[in-house]
Amino acid sequence: MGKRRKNKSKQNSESLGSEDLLAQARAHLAAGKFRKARDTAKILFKRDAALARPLLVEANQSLAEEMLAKGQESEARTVLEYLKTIATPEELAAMERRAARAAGDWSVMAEDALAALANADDGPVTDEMRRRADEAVIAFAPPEAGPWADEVRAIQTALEAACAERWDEARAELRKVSRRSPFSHWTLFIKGLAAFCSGDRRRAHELFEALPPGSATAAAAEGWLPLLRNRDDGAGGPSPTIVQLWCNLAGAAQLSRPLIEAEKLWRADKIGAAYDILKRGLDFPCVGNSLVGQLSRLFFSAAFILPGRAVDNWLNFIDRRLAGKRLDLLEIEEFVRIFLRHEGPLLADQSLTDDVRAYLESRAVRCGADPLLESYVRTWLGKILAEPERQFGFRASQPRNADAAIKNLERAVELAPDSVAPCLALCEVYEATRRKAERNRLLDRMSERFPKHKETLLLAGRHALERKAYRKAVRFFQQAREADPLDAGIPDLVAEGLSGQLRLDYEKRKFAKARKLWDEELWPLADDSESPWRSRWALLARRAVLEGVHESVEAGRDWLQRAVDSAPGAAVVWLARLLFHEEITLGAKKQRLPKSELGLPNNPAPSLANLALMLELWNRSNEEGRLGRYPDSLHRKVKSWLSGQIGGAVRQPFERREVMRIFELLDHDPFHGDLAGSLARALWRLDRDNPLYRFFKLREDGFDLHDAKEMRELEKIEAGARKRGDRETVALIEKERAALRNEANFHPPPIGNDDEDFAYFNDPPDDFAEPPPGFAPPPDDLAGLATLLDDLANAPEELIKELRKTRPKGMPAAVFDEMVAAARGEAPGPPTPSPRPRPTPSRKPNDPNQLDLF
Amino acid sequence: MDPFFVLQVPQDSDDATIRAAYLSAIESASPESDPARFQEISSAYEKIKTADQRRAYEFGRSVVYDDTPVGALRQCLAFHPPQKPPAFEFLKQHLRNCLQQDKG
Repeated sequence: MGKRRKNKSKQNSESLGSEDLLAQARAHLAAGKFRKARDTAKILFKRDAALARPLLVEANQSLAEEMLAKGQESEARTVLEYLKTIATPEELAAMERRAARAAGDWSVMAEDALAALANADDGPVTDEMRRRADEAVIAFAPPEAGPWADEVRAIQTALEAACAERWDEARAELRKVSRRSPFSHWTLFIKGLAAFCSGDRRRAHELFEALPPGSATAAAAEGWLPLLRNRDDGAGGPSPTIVQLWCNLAGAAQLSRPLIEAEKLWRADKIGAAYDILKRGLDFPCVGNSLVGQLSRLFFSAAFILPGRAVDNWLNFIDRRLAGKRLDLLEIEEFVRIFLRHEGPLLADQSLTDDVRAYLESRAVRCGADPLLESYVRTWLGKILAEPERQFGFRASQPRNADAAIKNLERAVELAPDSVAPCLALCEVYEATRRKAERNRLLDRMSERFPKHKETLLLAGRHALERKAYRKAVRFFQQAREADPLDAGIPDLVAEGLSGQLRLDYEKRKFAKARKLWDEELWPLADDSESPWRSRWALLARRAVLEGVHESVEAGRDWLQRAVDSAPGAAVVWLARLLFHEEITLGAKKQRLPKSELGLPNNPAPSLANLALMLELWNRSNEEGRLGRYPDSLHRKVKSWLSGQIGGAVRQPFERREVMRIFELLDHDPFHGDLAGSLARALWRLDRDNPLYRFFKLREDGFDLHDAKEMRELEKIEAGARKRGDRETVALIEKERAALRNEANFHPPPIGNDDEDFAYFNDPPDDFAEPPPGFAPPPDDLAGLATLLDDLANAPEELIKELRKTRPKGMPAAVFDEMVAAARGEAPGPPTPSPRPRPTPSRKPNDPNQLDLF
Repeated sequence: MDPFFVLQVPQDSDDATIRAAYLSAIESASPESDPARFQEISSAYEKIKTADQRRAYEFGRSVVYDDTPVGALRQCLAFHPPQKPPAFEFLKQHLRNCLQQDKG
């Protein structure tokens, strides 16, 4: 078929006239169809040899080059043989030069380049001239005489001198190169090289960046520039040529080939194969600051930087290698370490302990015994073993293996007696397992061993406070204050300890001693007007309660009056008195002030600033672990009284920041959330156009993301705020909207047996009390969860309703509904937005173990 | 980056050696002249300045280089650039490769 078509085409060409044939041959040549051009020229050559010869020579020559480029050498040779029969000697010489250039004969290239430069115009240097100049230099063949021979020789000598670090000689040679010559960019390159080697990074960067684009020098500088920038600009990584240069610069030329291969494999997520490539023929892996040592470190951190699937492959590779037992000590040590760091918390106790032992043993054989390292590793192990177990995916209060944790931590303390970390960890485990005697003994030892370690001293002080060893606590806090005089919280703790001692002295009726303590130690601490521990009014109110309870009611009233005189408002002192009385008489039934002395009068009403101070006082006094929880009756009393003060407070002058502060405090106070509604409405009645007050009112009324009317109102408020330039309100609205969206977008994970479901549970958060926005904490005990779902599936509707009401604090209703739906095999409906929940105060973490209810 | 590499000290160095290396390193990289380098040196020193920290780093290190093998090589060379030029024969070949790559 092909032959017939060719003949037909030939016949068509033969029927054309000479002029048409010439045009056709030229068109084929221009289109790169060299075979057709040659065939057409041949037909013409038979008719008019003189006319067709140059075209036939050119077509054959191009065809031969094309064949050579394709590797068709024998065919090319045939064409060249034919060419010799038609070309003139000059044409043949030119052809040979072209072939030599194509084959990379640098001397021919240099001669041609110099000839081209000699014939160039005297005008400005062009890119083509620079290209020719590069060819002349890079040939590294000594040029014969000519207009540019001296410059070429100078640059070549300068390059050689630079490589031998004969910088003076290189500089002297470069002086021979004119600034206007097409070779001038080579001076920049060599100067850049000199600056790089002398450590002048900025100059080297400037010189390399100044090289003309497209020149060989600019291409070569691409190898140095990434080392001068703080980042890598190439997404696909540097070329093999650059990697070879880097390895050569680093004196590790043997590294380049395996490194290029390893890079390709790494980028294809084949880390194990890349590791094997480097291991073959190199001293890899190894430790130290050599490049191979650093590459070893990279591979040993791969499990922490790669995406999921690549990590799995890499860990499987390590697993196979560990099982194969063909590893050196460093590999065993590092591979076990990687497993421990990556999977440690998920391993069973025995595997975890065995792996730690394997790590320590291989390390000891390789580097000798290191008690500090062993102490650190045992502390790490102890902490993992002391982590609370999880039930139904929720954290329990007991450590997973307290005895093993304590054993490891005690050994860690023994191995590194000067390290505080194992002691602190051990202290925590004692605390979690309620071994108070051991904990206190340890704290006493720690405070002696680390007399300047603030955290230890504060911990020892807090525990001393807890067991009413106030003098001891004060001593610890004062030591901590000496260790860190800038910590603003420590003076409050000192005052708290002294206040406890004062109370104890009053209770024991050691009045003289108590008053001495007051005069000499406690009162001099009164230097913070807003602290419930160190403000004058707070200290006086505390004294008033103690005098009233233990001395006489009248004495108490006198002290109270002094407190009122030094307070920003009487109401603050009344509330302080009530709270301090509750704290001081906690558990005491007889020693109490009469009820008439503990009133919260309504006049004069406090200002909003005072209201903020009272809320702060309430929040701080009510912190869990410090004073314990107050009785419900007190909560109700304070709440009702504070609500009654709002009307009067907003009628007094106030500042916007005070309003913001109160709402911020109320957001974190689960007991006084309703006050926010009362205050928002009171403020709104005061100024109905104020976007901030409108926003607070809308928010406190509890708006719904799905209610179009309310959303329109929110938009109007935002527009009003923007118009007034009220950025604070705009920011609040945006934050609120984001919170609402998170709430509406919440979807719990599907529950099933597929691997994808387990992927969700890989990295459970540490604390259920603070789930990431929009997500519930993932359960990690799937077997327990399955049992729970079975129970839910069979539970009657009444029980489900009851369980829904009593679900664990912090568990969104939507999660509970989804669980029930999943248990019953029902498709869950769209999530229904609940009224805006108050943020849970961080100081009062929910007890996540509430699922025991089921 | 690996703090031992940054400060150019062996892994079994003591506190004094590491401190001396740190002081020498920040002499040539002040926070004004090269803030990124200063930050890297300070951060390296903070990681390994005491015996306890060195043990913690040795066992706990996870991300030493956040890159590929060649990326890690680049980071190492960029931080401690080689002070020697390439060998002349290598440079010749490198320049020719660059010219041919450019033509390609």
